[in-house]
Amino acid sequence: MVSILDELSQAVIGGDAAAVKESTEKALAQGLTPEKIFREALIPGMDEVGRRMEAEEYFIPEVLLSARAMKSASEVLKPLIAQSKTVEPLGRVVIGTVQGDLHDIGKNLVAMMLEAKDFEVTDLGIDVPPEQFIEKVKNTKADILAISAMLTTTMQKMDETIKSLRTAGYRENLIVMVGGAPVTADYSRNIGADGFAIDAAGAARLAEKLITERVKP
Amino acid sequence: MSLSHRERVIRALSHQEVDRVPFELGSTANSSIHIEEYQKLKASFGVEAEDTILHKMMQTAAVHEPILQALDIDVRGVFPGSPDSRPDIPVGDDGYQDALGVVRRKPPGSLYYDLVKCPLAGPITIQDIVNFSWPDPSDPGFTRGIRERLLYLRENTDYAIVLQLPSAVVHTTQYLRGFEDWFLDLAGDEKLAGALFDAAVEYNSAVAEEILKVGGDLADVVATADDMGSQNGPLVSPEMYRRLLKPRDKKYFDTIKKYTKAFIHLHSCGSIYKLLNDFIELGVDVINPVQVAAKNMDSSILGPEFGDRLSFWGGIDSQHILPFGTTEEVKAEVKRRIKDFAPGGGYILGAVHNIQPGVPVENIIAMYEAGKEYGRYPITQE
Repeated sequence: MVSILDELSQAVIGGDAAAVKESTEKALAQGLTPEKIFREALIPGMDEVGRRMEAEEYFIPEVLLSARAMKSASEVLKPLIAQSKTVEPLGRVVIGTVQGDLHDIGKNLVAMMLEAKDFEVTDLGIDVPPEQFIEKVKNTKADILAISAMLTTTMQKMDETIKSLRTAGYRENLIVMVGGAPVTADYSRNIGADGFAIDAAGAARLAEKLITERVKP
Repeated sequence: MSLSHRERVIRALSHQEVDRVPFELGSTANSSIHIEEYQKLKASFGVEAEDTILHKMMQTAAVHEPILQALDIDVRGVFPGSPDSRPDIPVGDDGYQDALGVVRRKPPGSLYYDLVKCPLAGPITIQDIVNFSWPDPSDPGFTRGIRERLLYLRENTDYAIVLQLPSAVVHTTQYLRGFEDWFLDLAGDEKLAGALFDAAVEYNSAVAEEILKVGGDLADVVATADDMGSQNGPLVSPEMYRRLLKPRDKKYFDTIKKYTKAFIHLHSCGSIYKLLNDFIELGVDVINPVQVAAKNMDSSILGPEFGDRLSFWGGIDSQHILPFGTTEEVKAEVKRRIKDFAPGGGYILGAVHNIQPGVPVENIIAMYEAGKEYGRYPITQE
Protein backbone atom coordinates (compact mmCIF):
# COMPACT_ATOMS: atom_id res chain seq x y z
CA MET A 1 0.00 0.00 0.00
CA VAL A 2 1.74 3.12 -1.22
CA SER A 3 1.60 6.02 1.20
CA ILE A 4 0.28 9.32 -0.04
CA LEU A 5 3.72 10.85 0.46
CA ASP A 6 5.37 8.18 -1.72
CA GLU A 7 2.65 8.70 -4.32
CA LEU A 8 3.35 12.43 -4.32
CA SER A 9 7.11 11.94 -4.52
CA GLN A 10 6.74 9.60 -7.48
CA ALA A 11 4.46 12.07 -9.22
CA VAL A 12 7.14 14.75 -8.89
CA ILE A 13 9.80 12.39 -10.23
CA GLY A 14 7.47 11.43 -13.07
CA GLY A 15 6.78 15.08 -13.89
CA ASP A 16 3.00 14.65 -13.61
CA ALA A 17 1.72 18.08 -12.56
CA ALA A 18 -1.93 17.03 -12.36
CA ALA A 19 -1.12 14.02 -10.18
CA VAL A 20 1.13 16.17 -7.99
CA LYS A 21 -1.65 18.69 -7.38
CA GLU A 22 -4.17 15.91 -6.67
CA SER A 23 -1.86 14.04 -4.30
CA THR A 24 -0.97 17.26 -2.49
CA GLU A 25 -4.62 18.03 -1.89
CA LYS A 26 -5.24 14.45 -0.77
CA ALA A 27 -2.34 14.67 1.66
CA LEU A 28 -3.69 17.90 3.13
CA ALA A 29 -7.14 16.33 3.40
CA GLN A 30 -5.57 13.49 5.36
CA GLY A 31 -4.33 16.03 7.86
CA LEU A 32 -0.67 16.18 6.87
CA THR A 33 0.99 19.54 7.39
CA PRO A 34 2.48 21.49 4.49
CA GLU A 35 5.85 21.28 6.21
CA LYS A 36 5.68 17.48 6.37
CA ILE A 37 4.57 17.29 2.75
CA PHE A 38 7.54 19.41 1.66
CA ARG A 39 10.04 17.57 3.78
CA GLU A 40 8.91 14.01 3.21
CA ALA A 41 7.59 14.07 -0.34
CA LEU A 42 8.55 17.09 -2.40
CA ILE A 43 12.14 17.52 -1.30
CA PRO A 44 13.00 13.80 -1.64
CA GLY A 45 11.27 13.85 -5.03
CA MET A 46 13.34 16.75 -6.33
CA ASP A 47 16.48 15.28 -4.74
CA GLU A 48 15.90 12.15 -6.79
CA VAL A 49 15.39 14.29 -9.90
CA GLY A 50 18.68 16.01 -9.14
CA ARG A 51 20.40 12.67 -8.68
CA ARG A 52 19.07 11.43 -12.01
CA MET A 53 20.23 14.65 -13.69
CA GLU A 54 23.74 14.15 -12.35
CA ALA A 55 23.66 10.47 -13.35
CA GLU A 56 22.68 11.51 -16.90
CA GLU A 57 19.41 9.60 -16.70
CA TYR A 58 17.36 12.75 -16.74
CA PHE A 59 18.05 15.50 -19.24
CA ILE A 60 16.73 19.04 -19.39
CA PRO A 61 13.21 18.09 -20.58
CA GLU A 62 12.61 15.67 -17.71
CA VAL A 63 14.12 17.99 -15.10
CA LEU A 64 12.04 20.96 -16.23
CA LEU A 65 8.90 18.87 -16.29
CA SER A 66 9.49 17.66 -12.73
CA ALA A 67 10.27 21.18 -11.61
CA ARG A 68 7.00 22.37 -13.16
CA ALA A 69 5.14 19.54 -11.46
CA MET A 70 6.73 20.48 -8.14
CA LYS A 71 5.59 24.03 -8.67
CA SER A 72 1.97 22.92 -8.83
CA ALA A 73 2.41 21.51 -5.31
CA SER A 74 4.05 24.61 -3.94
CA GLU A 75 1.27 26.73 -5.43
CA VAL A 76 -1.17 24.80 -3.23
CA LEU A 77 1.06 24.79 -0.17
CA LYS A 78 2.63 28.24 -0.14
CA PRO A 79 -0.56 30.18 0.70
CA LEU A 80 -1.16 27.78 3.60
CA ILE A 81 2.40 28.22 4.85
CA ALA A 82 2.08 31.98 4.57
CA GLN A 83 -1.11 31.86 6.65
CA SER A 84 0.36 29.67 9.36
CA LYS A 85 2.95 32.01 10.82
CA THR A 86 4.43 29.24 12.95
CA VAL A 87 6.18 27.75 9.96
CA GLU A 88 9.30 29.62 9.00
CA PRO A 89 10.95 28.88 5.68
CA LEU A 90 14.40 27.34 5.77
CA GLY A 91 15.66 30.71 4.57
CA ARG A 92 14.86 33.68 2.35
CA VAL A 93 16.51 33.88 -1.03
CA VAL A 94 16.70 36.63 -3.60
CA ILE A 95 17.68 35.32 -7.03
CA GLY A 96 18.22 36.91 -10.42
CA THR A 97 20.27 37.12 -13.60
CA VAL A 98 22.73 40.01 -13.77
CA GLN A 99 22.38 43.24 -15.68
CA GLY A 100 22.76 42.92 -19.44
CA ASP A 101 22.11 39.18 -19.35
CA LEU A 102 18.80 37.79 -20.58
CA HIS A 103 19.26 34.10 -19.82
CA ASP A 104 17.14 32.45 -17.19
CA ILE A 105 16.36 28.77 -17.64
CA GLY A 106 19.12 27.62 -15.31
CA LYS A 107 18.26 30.34 -12.83
CA ASN A 108 14.57 29.33 -12.97
CA LEU A 109 15.52 25.73 -12.25
CA VAL A 110 17.59 26.81 -9.26
CA ALA A 111 14.67 28.90 -7.97
CA MET A 112 12.31 25.94 -8.24
CA MET A 113 14.73 23.59 -6.52
CA LEU A 114 15.26 26.09 -3.72
CA GLU A 115 11.50 26.31 -3.22
CA ALA A 116 11.39 22.54 -3.11
CA LYS A 117 13.87 22.72 -0.26
CA ASP A 118 11.48 25.04 1.57
CA PHE A 119 13.28 28.29 0.89
CA GLU A 120 11.19 31.39 0.31
CA VAL A 121 12.36 32.63 -3.06
CA THR A 122 12.00 36.07 -4.60
CA ASP A 123 12.92 35.89 -8.27
CA LEU A 124 13.89 39.23 -9.78
CA GLY A 125 14.10 37.81 -13.30
CA ILE A 126 16.70 38.86 -15.85
CA ASP A 127 18.80 41.95 -16.52
CA VAL A 128 18.92 42.93 -12.83
CA PRO A 129 21.20 45.85 -11.89
CA PRO A 130 23.19 45.62 -8.63
CA GLU A 131 21.02 48.29 -6.94
CA GLN A 132 17.90 46.22 -7.53
CA PHE A 133 19.46 43.14 -5.94
CA ILE A 134 20.46 45.19 -2.90
CA GLU A 135 17.03 46.83 -2.59
CA LYS A 136 15.28 43.45 -2.60
CA VAL A 137 17.77 41.88 -0.17
CA LYS A 138 17.01 44.78 2.17
CA ASN A 139 13.23 44.56 1.76
CA THR A 140 12.90 40.82 2.16
CA LYS A 141 15.60 40.53 4.84
CA ALA A 142 17.12 37.87 2.64
CA ASP A 143 19.54 35.29 4.01
CA ILE A 144 20.88 34.34 0.61
CA LEU A 145 21.52 36.25 -2.60
CA ALA A 146 21.84 33.93 -5.60
CA ILE A 147 23.24 35.54 -8.74
CA SER A 148 23.26 34.00 -12.21
CA ALA A 149 25.13 34.94 -15.38
CA MET A 150 25.49 33.10 -18.64
CA LEU A 151 28.01 35.28 -20.43
CA THR A 152 31.64 36.00 -19.63
CA THR A 153 30.92 39.63 -20.48
CA THR A 154 28.12 40.00 -17.96
CA MET A 155 29.55 37.92 -15.13
CA GLN A 156 31.61 40.94 -14.08
CA LYS A 157 28.36 42.32 -12.74
CA MET A 158 28.56 39.66 -10.04
CA ASP A 159 31.76 41.27 -8.78
CA GLU A 160 30.13 44.69 -8.96
CA THR A 161 27.09 43.47 -7.05
CA ILE A 162 29.17 42.03 -4.22
CA LYS A 163 31.24 45.24 -4.01
CA SER A 164 28.03 47.31 -3.90
CA LEU A 165 26.68 45.08 -1.11
CA ARG A 166 29.84 45.75 0.86
CA THR A 167 29.63 49.49 0.34
CA ALA A 168 25.99 49.52 1.36
CA GLY A 169 26.80 47.49 4.48
CA TYR A 170 24.79 44.42 3.53
CA ARG A 171 27.55 41.94 2.72
CA GLU A 172 28.32 40.70 6.20
CA ASN A 173 25.01 39.11 7.14
CA LEU A 174 24.30 37.73 3.70
CA ILE A 175 25.21 34.47 1.99
CA VAL A 176 26.11 35.11 -1.65
CA MET A 177 25.99 32.25 -4.15
CA VAL A 178 26.90 32.48 -7.82
CA GLY A 179 26.35 30.24 -10.79
CA GLY A 180 26.00 30.01 -14.54
CA ALA A 181 27.88 28.70 -17.53
CA PRO A 182 31.08 30.84 -17.35
CA VAL A 183 31.29 30.82 -13.53
CA THR A 184 33.99 28.76 -11.86
CA ALA A 185 34.95 28.00 -8.28
CA ASP A 186 38.03 30.18 -8.79
CA TYR A 187 36.00 33.12 -9.99
CA SER A 188 33.57 32.70 -7.14
CA ARG A 189 36.45 32.81 -4.64
CA ASN A 190 38.11 35.76 -6.33
CA ILE A 191 35.03 37.92 -6.10
CA GLY A 192 34.40 36.91 -2.50
CA ALA A 193 31.22 34.89 -2.99
CA ASP A 194 30.37 32.31 -0.36
CA GLY A 195 29.66 29.51 -2.74
CA PHE A 196 29.24 28.30 -6.27
CA ALA A 197 27.54 25.25 -7.82
CA ILE A 198 27.67 23.85 -11.32
CA ASP A 199 24.01 22.92 -11.57
CA ALA A 200 20.61 23.44 -10.00
CA ALA A 201 20.73 20.32 -7.83
CA GLY A 202 24.12 21.35 -6.51
CA ALA A 203 22.91 24.89 -5.89
CA ALA A 204 19.96 23.73 -3.82
CA ARG A 205 22.18 21.42 -1.75
CA LEU A 206 24.75 24.17 -1.26
CA ALA A 207 22.13 26.69 -0.14
CA GLU A 208 20.84 24.23 2.42
CA LYS A 209 24.37 23.52 3.67
CA LEU A 210 25.36 27.18 3.90
CA ILE A 211 22.24 28.23 5.74
CA THR A 212 22.28 25.39 8.26
CA GLU A 213 25.98 25.97 8.94
CA ARG A 214 25.36 29.65 9.49
CA VAL A 215 22.48 29.27 11.94
CA LYS A 216 24.26 27.80 14.93
CA PRO A 217 21.90 26.09 17.37
CA MET B 1 52.78 17.94 -54.91
CA SER B 2 51.09 21.27 -55.56
CA LEU B 3 47.46 20.89 -54.61
CA SER B 4 44.82 23.50 -55.16
CA HIS B 5 42.96 24.57 -52.02
CA ARG B 6 39.87 22.81 -53.31
CA GLU B 7 41.66 19.53 -53.98
CA ARG B 8 43.26 19.66 -50.57
CA VAL B 9 39.90 20.04 -48.84
CA ILE B 10 38.05 17.51 -50.98
CA ARG B 11 40.72 14.88 -50.49
CA ALA B 12 40.91 15.59 -46.77
CA LEU B 13 37.13 15.15 -46.50
CA SER B 14 37.49 11.95 -48.50
CA HIS B 15 39.82 10.71 -45.76
CA GLN B 16 42.96 10.93 -47.79
CA GLU B 17 46.23 12.34 -46.55
CA VAL B 18 47.29 15.40 -48.54
CA ASP B 19 50.17 17.87 -48.26
CA ARG B 20 48.97 19.67 -45.16
CA VAL B 21 45.92 19.97 -42.93
CA PRO B 22 43.46 22.44 -44.53
CA PHE B 23 42.47 25.62 -42.70
CA GLU B 24 39.11 27.20 -41.99
CA LEU B 25 38.14 30.78 -41.16
CA GLY B 26 34.92 32.46 -42.14
CA SER B 27 33.34 29.95 -44.52
CA THR B 28 30.39 29.42 -42.18
CA ALA B 29 28.62 31.74 -39.74
CA ASN B 30 29.78 29.45 -36.90
CA SER B 31 33.48 29.30 -37.80
CA SER B 32 34.38 32.93 -38.28
CA ILE B 33 34.98 35.75 -35.79
CA HIS B 34 32.91 38.13 -33.66
CA ILE B 35 32.75 41.60 -35.18
CA GLU B 36 34.35 43.26 -32.16
CA GLU B 37 37.27 40.84 -32.10
CA TYR B 38 37.60 41.18 -35.87
CA GLN B 39 38.56 44.84 -35.51
CA LYS B 40 41.75 43.73 -33.75
CA LEU B 41 42.52 41.14 -36.41
CA LYS B 42 41.91 43.69 -39.16
CA ALA B 43 44.20 46.19 -37.43
CA SER B 44 46.99 43.65 -37.14
CA PHE B 45 46.81 43.05 -40.89
CA GLY B 46 46.38 46.73 -41.76
CA VAL B 47 42.96 46.10 -43.34
CA GLU B 48 40.59 49.06 -43.20
CA ALA B 49 37.70 47.94 -45.42
CA GLU B 50 34.06 48.09 -44.35
CA ASP B 51 32.63 45.17 -42.40
CA THR B 52 29.90 42.72 -43.36
CA ILE B 53 27.91 40.86 -40.74
CA LEU B 54 27.41 37.20 -41.64
CA HIS B 55 25.02 36.47 -38.82
CA LYS B 56 23.16 39.22 -36.99
CA MET B 57 22.22 37.25 -33.86
CA MET B 58 25.78 36.09 -33.18
CA GLN B 59 27.38 39.27 -34.59
CA THR B 60 29.69 37.17 -36.76
CA ALA B 61 31.87 39.09 -39.22
CA ALA B 62 32.89 38.14 -42.74
CA VAL B 63 36.70 38.07 -43.08
CA HIS B 64 38.31 40.12 -45.84
CA GLU B 65 40.29 38.45 -48.61
CA PRO B 66 43.76 39.83 -47.70
CA ILE B 67 43.52 38.21 -44.27
CA LEU B 68 42.16 34.92 -45.61
CA GLN B 69 45.00 34.80 -48.11
CA ALA B 70 47.65 35.78 -45.58
CA LEU B 71 46.51 32.92 -43.33
CA ASP B 72 46.22 30.58 -46.36
CA ILE B 73 42.60 29.66 -45.59
CA ASP B 74 41.42 26.91 -47.93
CA VAL B 75 37.67 27.47 -47.89
CA ARG B 76 35.23 30.23 -48.87
CA GLY B 77 31.58 30.47 -47.90
CA VAL B 78 28.44 31.41 -49.78
CA PHE B 79 25.44 32.45 -47.72
CA PRO B 80 21.74 32.63 -48.54
CA GLY B 81 19.85 35.86 -47.89
CA SER B 82 16.67 36.61 -46.00
CA PRO B 83 13.16 36.77 -47.45
CA ASP B 84 12.38 40.12 -49.14
CA SER B 85 8.81 39.95 -47.87
CA ARG B 86 9.87 39.78 -44.21
CA PRO B 87 12.61 42.32 -43.49
CA ASP B 88 13.86 42.72 -39.91
CA ILE B 89 11.81 45.23 -37.91
CA PRO B 90 13.55 47.32 -35.22
CA VAL B 91 12.14 46.85 -31.71
CA GLY B 92 12.94 49.40 -29.02
CA ASP B 93 16.44 50.80 -28.74
CA ASP B 94 18.37 47.60 -28.88
CA GLY B 95 16.23 44.91 -30.53
CA TYR B 96 14.73 43.56 -33.72
CA GLN B 97 12.05 41.17 -34.93
CA ASP B 98 13.15 38.69 -37.58
CA ALA B 99 11.41 37.00 -40.53
CA LEU B 100 9.80 34.40 -38.25
CA GLY B 101 8.50 36.98 -35.78
CA VAL B 102 11.16 36.21 -33.17
CA VAL B 103 12.27 39.24 -31.14
CA ARG B 104 15.82 39.61 -29.85
CA ARG B 105 17.67 42.27 -27.87
CA LYS B 106 21.30 43.20 -27.46
CA PRO B 107 21.43 45.15 -24.17
CA PRO B 108 24.41 47.45 -23.52
CA GLY B 109 27.38 45.30 -22.55
CA SER B 110 26.14 42.23 -24.40
CA LEU B 111 27.89 40.85 -27.47
CA TYR B 112 24.96 39.11 -29.11
CA TYR B 113 21.26 39.43 -29.74
CA ASP B 114 19.41 37.28 -27.24
CA LEU B 115 15.92 35.83 -27.40
CA VAL B 116 13.25 37.87 -25.66
CA LYS B 117 9.97 37.09 -27.36
CA CYS B 118 8.89 33.93 -29.16
CA PRO B 119 5.79 33.94 -31.36
CA LEU B 120 4.70 30.42 -30.36
CA ALA B 121 5.60 30.48 -26.67
CA GLY B 122 3.13 29.75 -23.88
CA PRO B 123 -0.09 27.71 -23.94
CA ILE B 124 -0.53 27.05 -27.64
CA THR B 125 -2.38 24.30 -29.48
CA ILE B 126 -1.64 22.35 -32.63
CA GLN B 127 -4.05 24.70 -34.39
CA ASP B 128 -1.73 27.62 -33.61
CA ILE B 129 1.07 25.68 -35.28
CA VAL B 130 -1.09 24.90 -38.28
CA ASN B 131 -2.06 28.57 -38.54
CA PHE B 132 1.51 29.87 -38.22
CA SER B 133 2.50 31.98 -41.17
CA TRP B 134 5.90 30.96 -42.51
CA PRO B 135 7.75 33.10 -45.05
CA ASP B 136 7.37 31.87 -48.63
CA PRO B 137 10.29 29.48 -49.35
CA SER B 138 10.36 30.67 -52.96
CA ASP B 139 11.00 34.28 -51.85
CA PRO B 140 13.80 35.51 -54.13
CA GLY B 141 15.59 37.03 -51.13
CA PHE B 142 16.78 33.58 -50.11
CA THR B 143 18.57 32.75 -53.35
CA ARG B 144 19.51 36.10 -54.87
CA GLY B 145 23.13 36.16 -56.03
CA ILE B 146 23.98 32.65 -54.82
CA ARG B 147 24.63 31.08 -58.21
CA GLU B 148 26.61 34.10 -59.38
CA ARG B 149 28.79 34.02 -56.30
CA LEU B 150 29.35 30.26 -56.60
CA LEU B 151 30.26 30.55 -60.29
CA TYR B 152 32.65 33.41 -59.52
CA LEU B 153 34.45 31.33 -56.88
CA ARG B 154 34.52 28.26 -59.11
CA GLU B 155 35.83 30.07 -62.17
CA ASN B 156 38.21 32.57 -60.59
CA THR B 157 39.60 30.88 -57.49
CA ASP B 158 40.75 27.48 -56.40
CA TYR B 159 39.14 27.55 -52.97
CA ALA B 160 36.81 24.86 -51.64
CA ILE B 161 33.29 26.24 -51.54
CA VAL B 162 30.90 25.92 -48.60
CA LEU B 163 27.24 26.68 -49.25
CA GLN B 164 25.25 27.53 -46.10
CA LEU B 165 21.82 25.96 -45.69
CA PRO B 166 19.10 26.66 -43.09
CA SER B 167 19.21 24.90 -39.74
CA ALA B 168 17.39 21.57 -39.64
CA VAL B 169 14.77 21.75 -36.89
CA VAL B 170 16.14 22.41 -33.38
CA HIS B 171 17.16 26.05 -33.71
CA THR B 172 14.03 27.09 -35.59
CA THR B 173 11.63 25.47 -33.16
CA GLN B 174 13.52 26.68 -30.08
CA TYR B 175 13.36 30.27 -31.31
CA LEU B 176 9.67 30.00 -32.17
CA ARG B 177 8.59 28.24 -28.99
CA GLY B 178 11.08 29.58 -26.51
CA PHE B 179 13.65 27.34 -24.85
CA GLU B 180 11.70 26.51 -21.72
CA ASP B 181 8.49 25.51 -23.50
CA TRP B 182 10.51 23.62 -26.11
CA PHE B 183 12.02 21.39 -23.43
CA LEU B 184 8.73 21.04 -21.57
CA ASP B 185 6.92 19.97 -24.75
CA LEU B 186 9.45 17.22 -25.32
CA ALA B 187 8.86 15.82 -21.88
CA GLY B 188 5.16 16.47 -21.52
CA ASP B 189 3.43 17.08 -24.86
CA GLU B 190 5.09 15.09 -27.60
CA LYS B 191 2.22 15.62 -30.01
CA LEU B 192 2.64 19.37 -29.84
CA ALA B 193 6.42 19.11 -30.07
CA GLY B 194 6.12 16.78 -33.05
CA ALA B 195 3.66 19.04 -34.83
CA LEU B 196 6.03 21.98 -34.49
CA PHE B 197 9.02 19.93 -35.62
CA ASP B 198 7.14 18.74 -38.69
CA ALA B 199 6.08 22.26 -39.64
CA ALA B 200 9.62 23.59 -39.16
CA VAL B 201 11.34 20.82 -41.10
CA GLU B 202 8.87 21.23 -43.93
CA TYR B 203 9.69 24.95 -44.13
CA ASN B 204 13.45 24.51 -43.75
CA SER B 205 13.49 21.69 -46.30
CA ALA B 206 11.60 23.86 -48.79
CA VAL B 207 14.04 26.73 -48.35
CA ALA B 208 17.02 24.35 -48.56
CA GLU B 209 15.58 22.94 -51.77
CA GLU B 210 15.39 26.41 -53.33
CA ILE B 211 18.99 27.14 -52.36
CA LEU B 212 20.25 23.78 -53.58
CA LYS B 213 18.42 24.14 -56.88
CA VAL B 214 20.52 27.21 -57.64
CA GLY B 215 23.76 26.01 -56.08
CA GLY B 216 23.82 22.35 -55.07
CA ASP B 217 25.84 21.40 -58.13
CA LEU B 218 28.53 24.02 -57.50
CA ALA B 219 29.27 23.61 -53.80
CA ASP B 220 31.92 21.28 -52.43
CA VAL B 221 30.38 21.32 -48.96
CA VAL B 222 26.87 22.18 -47.80
CA ALA B 223 26.63 23.32 -44.19
CA THR B 224 23.66 23.07 -41.87
CA ALA B 225 23.26 23.39 -38.12
CA ASP B 226 21.31 22.09 -35.15
CA ASP B 227 22.68 22.41 -31.63
CA MET B 228 22.10 19.12 -29.85
CA GLY B 229 24.63 19.31 -27.02
CA SER B 230 25.41 21.20 -23.86
CA GLN B 231 28.68 21.28 -21.96
CA ASN B 232 27.97 18.01 -20.18
CA GLY B 233 25.85 15.93 -22.51
CA PRO B 234 23.19 15.96 -25.19
CA LEU B 235 20.34 18.43 -24.67
CA VAL B 236 17.88 15.56 -24.63
CA SER B 237 18.38 11.85 -24.01
CA PRO B 238 19.61 9.87 -27.00
CA GLU B 239 16.42 7.83 -26.79
CA MET B 240 14.33 10.99 -27.05
CA TYR B 241 16.49 12.32 -29.89
CA ARG B 242 15.96 9.11 -31.85
CA ARG B 243 12.24 9.02 -31.22
CA LEU B 244 11.27 12.65 -31.72
CA LEU B 245 14.01 14.50 -33.55
CA LYS B 246 15.86 12.02 -35.70
CA PRO B 247 12.90 11.28 -38.02
CA ARG B 248 12.64 15.00 -38.74
CA ASP B 249 16.40 15.30 -39.24
CA LYS B 250 16.17 12.36 -41.64
CA LYS B 251 13.58 14.19 -43.70
CA TYR B 252 15.85 17.23 -43.86
CA PHE B 253 19.02 15.35 -44.74
CA ASP B 254 17.18 13.25 -47.33
CA THR B 255 16.10 16.49 -48.99
CA ILE B 256 19.69 17.73 -49.02
CA LYS B 257 20.98 14.47 -50.49
CA LYS B 258 18.38 14.64 -53.25
CA TYR B 259 19.80 17.90 -54.58
CA THR B 260 23.54 17.74 -54.05
CA LYS B 261 26.48 15.38 -53.90
CA ALA B 262 28.47 17.81 -51.78
CA PHE B 263 29.86 16.79 -48.41
CA ILE B 264 27.31 17.40 -45.68
CA HIS B 265 28.65 19.49 -42.81
CA LEU B 266 26.66 19.58 -39.56
CA HIS B 267 27.28 22.20 -36.93
CA SER B 268 26.30 21.13 -33.43
CA CYS B 269 27.68 22.70 -30.30
CA GLY B 270 28.32 20.76 -27.13
CA SER B 271 28.71 17.19 -26.05
CA ILE B 272 27.23 15.15 -28.91
CA TYR B 273 29.41 12.05 -28.63
CA LYS B 274 26.34 9.93 -27.88
CA LEU B 275 24.62 11.07 -31.09
CA LEU B 276 27.49 10.80 -33.57
CA ASN B 277 26.51 7.35 -34.85
CA ASP B 278 23.03 8.69 -35.47
CA PHE B 279 24.39 11.61 -37.47
CA ILE B 280 26.57 9.27 -39.52
CA GLU B 281 23.47 7.21 -40.26
CA LEU B 282 21.69 10.33 -41.52
CA GLY B 283 24.49 10.99 -44.00
CA VAL B 284 26.53 13.61 -42.15
CA ASP B 285 30.12 13.69 -43.43
CA VAL B 286 31.59 16.51 -41.35
CA ILE B 287 31.09 17.57 -37.73
CA ASN B 288 31.68 21.14 -36.57
CA PRO B 289 32.75 22.89 -34.31
CA VAL B 290 33.91 19.87 -32.31
CA GLN B 291 33.63 21.37 -28.84
CA VAL B 292 36.61 19.48 -27.46
CA ALA B 293 36.22 20.84 -23.92
CA ALA B 294 32.72 19.38 -23.63
CA LYS B 295 32.14 15.97 -22.09
CA ASN B 296 33.35 12.97 -24.16
CA MET B 297 34.37 15.30 -26.96
CA ASP B 298 38.13 15.27 -26.54
CA SER B 299 40.00 14.66 -29.78
CA SER B 300 41.73 11.64 -28.23
CA ILE B 301 38.29 9.99 -28.00
CA LEU B 302 36.71 11.24 -31.23
CA GLY B 303 39.69 10.77 -33.54
CA PRO B 304 40.31 7.08 -32.97
CA GLU B 305 36.64 6.14 -32.68
CA PHE B 306 35.11 8.15 -35.51
CA GLY B 307 38.01 9.36 -37.63
CA ASP B 308 37.39 6.90 -40.42
CA ARG B 309 33.70 7.81 -40.77
CA LEU B 310 33.55 11.50 -39.91
CA SER B 311 35.62 14.53 -40.74
CA PHE B 312 36.21 17.07 -38.00
CA TRP B 313 36.02 20.78 -38.78
CA GLY B 314 37.28 23.05 -35.98
CA GLY B 315 38.63 21.47 -32.82
CA ILE B 316 41.03 24.11 -31.46
CA ASP B 317 39.75 24.76 -27.94
CA SER B 318 38.17 28.16 -27.53
CA GLN B 319 36.91 27.82 -23.95
CA HIS B 320 40.33 27.79 -22.29
CA ILE B 321 43.32 27.78 -24.65
CA LEU B 322 42.54 30.40 -27.28
CA PRO B 323 41.35 33.10 -24.89
CA PHE B 324 43.57 32.40 -21.89
CA GLY B 325 46.56 30.43 -23.15
CA THR B 326 50.00 31.65 -24.12
CA THR B 327 51.00 31.37 -27.78
CA GLU B 328 53.09 28.36 -26.76
CA GLU B 329 50.02 26.72 -25.27
CA VAL B 330 48.04 27.46 -28.43
CA LYS B 331 50.72 25.80 -30.52
CA ALA B 332 50.77 22.79 -28.21
CA GLU B 333 46.98 22.58 -28.52
CA VAL B 334 47.18 22.62 -32.31
CA LYS B 335 49.89 19.96 -32.26
CA ARG B 336 47.75 17.75 -30.03
CA ARG B 337 44.55 18.08 -32.08
CA ILE B 338 46.42 17.40 -35.31
CA LYS B 339 47.92 14.29 -33.78
CA ASP B 340 44.42 13.03 -32.88
CA PHE B 341 42.42 14.15 -35.92
CA ALA B 342 44.71 14.49 -38.90
CA PRO B 343 46.13 11.02 -39.60
CA GLY B 344 44.15 9.46 -42.40
CA GLY B 345 42.83 12.84 -43.48
CA GLY B 346 39.48 14.12 -42.30
CA TYR B 347 40.54 17.21 -40.37
CA ILE B 348 39.95 20.86 -41.23
CA LEU B 349 41.65 23.08 -38.66
CA GLY B 350 40.00 26.07 -37.03
CA ALA B 351 38.80 27.46 -33.71
CA VAL B 352 35.90 25.82 -31.94
CA HIS B 353 33.14 28.21 -33.05
CA ASN B 354 33.48 31.93 -33.80
CA ILE B 355 36.57 33.57 -32.35
CA GLN B 356 35.35 35.74 -29.49
CA PRO B 357 36.42 39.10 -28.07
CA GLY B 358 39.19 38.64 -25.57
CA VAL B 359 41.23 36.21 -27.66
CA PRO B 360 44.68 37.75 -28.12
CA VAL B 361 45.35 38.30 -31.83
CA GLU B 362 48.75 36.60 -31.37
CA ASN B 363 46.88 33.44 -30.45
CA ILE B 364 44.88 33.47 -33.67
CA ILE B 365 48.07 33.88 -35.70
CA ALA B 366 49.83 31.22 -33.61
CA MET B 367 46.99 28.78 -34.28
CA TYR B 368 47.48 28.95 -38.04
CA GLU B 369 51.27 29.08 -37.82
CA ALA B 370 51.23 25.93 -35.72
CA GLY B 371 48.83 24.43 -38.23
CA LYS B 372 51.47 24.91 -40.91
CA GLU B 373 54.26 23.67 -38.67
CA TYR B 374 52.61 20.53 -37.36
CA GLY B 375 50.09 19.88 -40.10
CA ARG B 376 52.42 18.63 -42.84
CA TYR B 377 51.72 15.08 -43.91
CA PRO B 378 52.78 12.51 -42.99
CA ILE B 379 51.93 13.53 -39.42
CA THR B 380 54.91 12.46 -37.37
CA GLN B 381 54.77 13.09 -33.66
CA GLU B 382 56.47 11.25 -30.86
